[in-house]
Amino acid sequence: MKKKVLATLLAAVMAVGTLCMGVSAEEETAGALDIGADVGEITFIMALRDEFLSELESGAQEAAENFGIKVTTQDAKNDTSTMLQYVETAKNAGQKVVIVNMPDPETAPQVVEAAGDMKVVFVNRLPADTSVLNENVAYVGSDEHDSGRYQGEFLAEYFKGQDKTEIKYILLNGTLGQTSTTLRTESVLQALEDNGITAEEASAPLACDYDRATAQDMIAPLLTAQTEFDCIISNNDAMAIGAIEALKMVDMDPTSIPIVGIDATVDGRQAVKDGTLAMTVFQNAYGQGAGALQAAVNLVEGNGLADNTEFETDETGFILWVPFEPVTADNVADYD
Amino acid sequence: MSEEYVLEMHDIVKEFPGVRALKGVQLKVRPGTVHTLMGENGAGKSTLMKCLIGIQPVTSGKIIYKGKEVAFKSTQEALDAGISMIHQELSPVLERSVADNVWLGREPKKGLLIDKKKMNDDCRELFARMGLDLDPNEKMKNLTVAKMQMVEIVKAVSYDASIVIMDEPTSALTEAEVADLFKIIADLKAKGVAIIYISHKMDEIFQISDDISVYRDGEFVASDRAENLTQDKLIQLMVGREITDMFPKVPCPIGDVVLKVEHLNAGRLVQDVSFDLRKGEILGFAGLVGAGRTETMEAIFGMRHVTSGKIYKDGQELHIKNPGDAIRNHIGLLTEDRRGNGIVGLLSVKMNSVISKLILGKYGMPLNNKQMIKDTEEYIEKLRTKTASIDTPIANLSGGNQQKVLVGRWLLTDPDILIVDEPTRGIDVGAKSEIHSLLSELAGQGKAIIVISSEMPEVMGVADRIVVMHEGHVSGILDRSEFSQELIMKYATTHEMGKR
Amino acid sequence: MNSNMKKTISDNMIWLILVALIIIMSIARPVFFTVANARTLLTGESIKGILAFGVALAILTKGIDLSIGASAALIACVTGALVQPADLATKVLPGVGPLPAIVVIIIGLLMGAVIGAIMGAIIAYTKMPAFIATLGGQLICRAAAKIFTSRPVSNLSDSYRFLGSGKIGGFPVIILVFVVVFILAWFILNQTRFGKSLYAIGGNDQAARVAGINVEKNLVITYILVGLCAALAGILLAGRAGSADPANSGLNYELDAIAAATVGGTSHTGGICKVTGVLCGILILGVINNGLVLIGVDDNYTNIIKGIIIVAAVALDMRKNTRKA
Repeated sequence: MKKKVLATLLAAVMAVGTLCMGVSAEEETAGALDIGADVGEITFIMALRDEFLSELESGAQEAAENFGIKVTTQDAKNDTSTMLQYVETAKNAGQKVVIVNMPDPETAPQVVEAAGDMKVVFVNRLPADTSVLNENVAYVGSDEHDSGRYQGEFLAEYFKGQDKTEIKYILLNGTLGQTSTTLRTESVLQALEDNGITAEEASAPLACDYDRATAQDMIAPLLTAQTEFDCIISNNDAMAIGAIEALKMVDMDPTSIPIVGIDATVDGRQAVKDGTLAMTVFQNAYGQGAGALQAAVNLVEGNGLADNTEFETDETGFILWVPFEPVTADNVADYD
Repeated sequence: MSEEYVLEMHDIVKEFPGVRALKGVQLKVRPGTVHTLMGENGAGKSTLMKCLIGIQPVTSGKIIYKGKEVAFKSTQEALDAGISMIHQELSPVLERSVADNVWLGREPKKGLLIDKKKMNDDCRELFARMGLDLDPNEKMKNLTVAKMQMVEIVKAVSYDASIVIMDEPTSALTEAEVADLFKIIADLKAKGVAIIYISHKMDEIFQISDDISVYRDGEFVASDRAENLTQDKLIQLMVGREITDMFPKVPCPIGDVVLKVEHLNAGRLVQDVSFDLRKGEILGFAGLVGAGRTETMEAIFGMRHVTSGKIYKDGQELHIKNPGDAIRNHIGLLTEDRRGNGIVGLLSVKMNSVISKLILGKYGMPLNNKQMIKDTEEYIEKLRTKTASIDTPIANLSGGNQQKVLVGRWLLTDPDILIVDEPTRGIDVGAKSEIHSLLSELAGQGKAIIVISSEMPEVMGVADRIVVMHEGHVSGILDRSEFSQELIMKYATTHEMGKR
Repeated sequence: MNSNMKKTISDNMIWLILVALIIIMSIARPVFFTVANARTLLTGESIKGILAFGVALAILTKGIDLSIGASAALIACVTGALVQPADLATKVLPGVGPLPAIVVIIIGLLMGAVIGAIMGAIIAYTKMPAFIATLGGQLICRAAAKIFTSRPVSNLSDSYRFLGSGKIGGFPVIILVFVVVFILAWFILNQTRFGKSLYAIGGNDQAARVAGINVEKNLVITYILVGLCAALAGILLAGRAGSADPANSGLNYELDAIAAATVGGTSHTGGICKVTGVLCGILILGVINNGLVLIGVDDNYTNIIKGIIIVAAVALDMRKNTRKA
């Protein structure tokens, strides 16, 4: 009996072993291009695996394939400690550069410290303290000030067309405390104000953690309570779609008022085509991933950050901006 | 293959890690007979039965049932083949009804649903046949241990088995219930069912047995028709030596009052209980099952909330809130439910031995392991406990040896008062006699001892005085000179107050 | 194989698995077997390891503690807020502190003890299943952390961060803390009355009571110790990351801790736990985490392998224990 157990276990261990060997062998045969040999392997640490970040991951992966670089993705599951461990392990493995999508933007200095001599490319989540950025530490992402601005400008245009200057809005916040949430909310309200619209929140502030079901659950009681509002602003598409579902549940027509989102996800774009979502803002996840990979190569090879990309850096040269793009019924077909 | 036997077990060997529990034993059971297995605890009777019904696989050997060689892999297989067993240690589902327990796992169905009505009706019919007055809808947990035992028996009988194994079925039953059980056994016999009966009670055995097989230390000793055997002969076969005196009462000087209990109340089963206990005295507690003897001791020991009354030790009033307090006051309690609240099965013989002394903080910090080993070994030697090593999990020991470890545990706490509740239940004759002489010896050392026992000869044999209880009250206190079964029975069954 | 040797192998099976894993990882990626990488591995597992030692105590008594990850987060946020510089614009508690690290750490440990005492008292005195009581505790602690601060608490003082990210002669302090907790846990379980009482309570609480053990009191102490481990983990988390995140710090750490304790042979039916076994469980999961990253295995596969190992370990454990009982 015990022998059987022993045998089974050993077999399991062997299986794990073989799997590992297989992977490592594969890694040695890879690396067709010169660049691959120079840069070596890259660990790409993502805060968690959601739809957006997975798109970003595939951008990085496909760019890496072109270079013949092996990129391994690790999911930190929103845990800073796990992320730091991945960084240190990458350093131990002798990697030259690591790509990090931080769960908590406050922890950038710890990442840089843990990376030691490795170069670091932060992606999608801007370090809270940008002074960590330098010739060895870069950021690739989209300027969140723009995303809300596009939403605000679209809504201002819409209400001006109706000769309205005072409106009530429902705002679906993402996860409170996240930079993206703060910036998106701030910038949309700022843009409304800059364009001469006086906006008032129709409800208590809503935090829906970027989650569709949460948004639906939060907005449903407001609808039942006959809350008056002129538009729904959402920090992302998922929550906007949650709102649309909630409206449908109480037989309200989602096309009757403007609902705006951000991300231009597959579902979001479909909603734009259906007319239920008035507009969304395309955040180029794929571009951010590909840009991050290119930036990583550029750092190692000593090139300028924006070299070989279609994007531009900011004035410091340490940030590579991947622009946001507004998506409406007019241009939604371009994003399929 | 002879058709004479419904079951033949040949050369059965069973090995546990480090122990050879059965060393090639045999058993041949004729249909329509009661075949009793006898032997000291640890002789291998229970193990042999577990091997038969598929709880444990045999290491080697041959089992022939109804002319075919079998090797059951589970109790379910054995049941399907017609062998059911009433276990010594009950395992009822307390939160379910009596009927649910009887039909557990084979509930009569009506379509997809359980046919509750049929379940209850069948149950009532079975109960009626056994003279048992029980509501099938009653929750199991509301039953007394004796009633649970009866339900267990009903369950085993209800399978229409060819062989019913009964492992100490009467240990928790009253005499009336035992009589009912024997009627059922006679019924079953008449139908050609074979009963394999395990018991230590001599009178019972000679009353119902057709055949008797004796085992000792995992070996087969002898098998014969009951009429060819006598009690003395059997005991000799079992222990391999002659036991001259079952209850070696050594008279010893009795001193001052150590424990005085006054008007103790603790629930329905402890009402206005008063008695005192002297140094060097063995005080017996007699009464029927459910008379409140155990509950009284639990109240004294801090396991049961005392509503009123006083307890004095050496003239000082005690305020015992939990067993820890009692132990610190040098009181020990060997409970009746060895598996339930006696041993910690997973832990070693050593830990089970020293745990209470350890709680008293007698081993310091860090713990003095050498002293713990020394203490354990001392009592293993003194009590002649049989164990492979002191690191063996206590669950691997036989019941009698577990009991000895527990006695050792209490002696290590240096008690002035030792309360023992059914100390010899389910224990073989040899160990029984050892425990009796041990109690006498302890009394001789000046300890005060309370013995609860449902076996009247036992209480009468060891005690200096006997307190008889009936429905939560003390109904009589007898001096040794007044001891008689008739008088004890009278007090045990009446509310009448005897001498105080 | 004779039975003694079989027994030795079966008792030390998890250590053999650990050694096998280390050998495999080292062959697949020699850099795995370096001092620097061992440091990384231990640093990464320290926090969950401390929680594993704590939760193992609860499991030993047939309990569990699901609140530890969340209470670690709460304590990380509160203690973190007490060591932010006075002039910080985003300070969570304006006008309070920064207090000396030692004071804050003591406050944190006290918080952990109090949370543990409440959990323990509920479990011991109401007989509520620990799973439910601590699930409630988890929700409350997590929500309390989010109420306390909606954004991560950062800019923590260096002295506060010493335990989590400091180094003594190049050696990470966090590993030393882990080792100290390991030694303490070993001592408590093997060399004290309290420890032996836990084995008895886990094995048979009724018997433990009759043997003179104050079951309720010991359970409360157990959960206080678990709470202290959680507090320490919280302080280390904030110290290591330099930031305490009310939403994500310590999220699901209790599950990793339970997994490590379980792989280490701690039985959920109570009464069985070896501190050295738990250490081995922590290391096995650590080797898998670290080694597979080094080899470049995608983390989804890592999780599959971890899942298999956890289930296999428990299956093995259950066989062993049924045989004993």
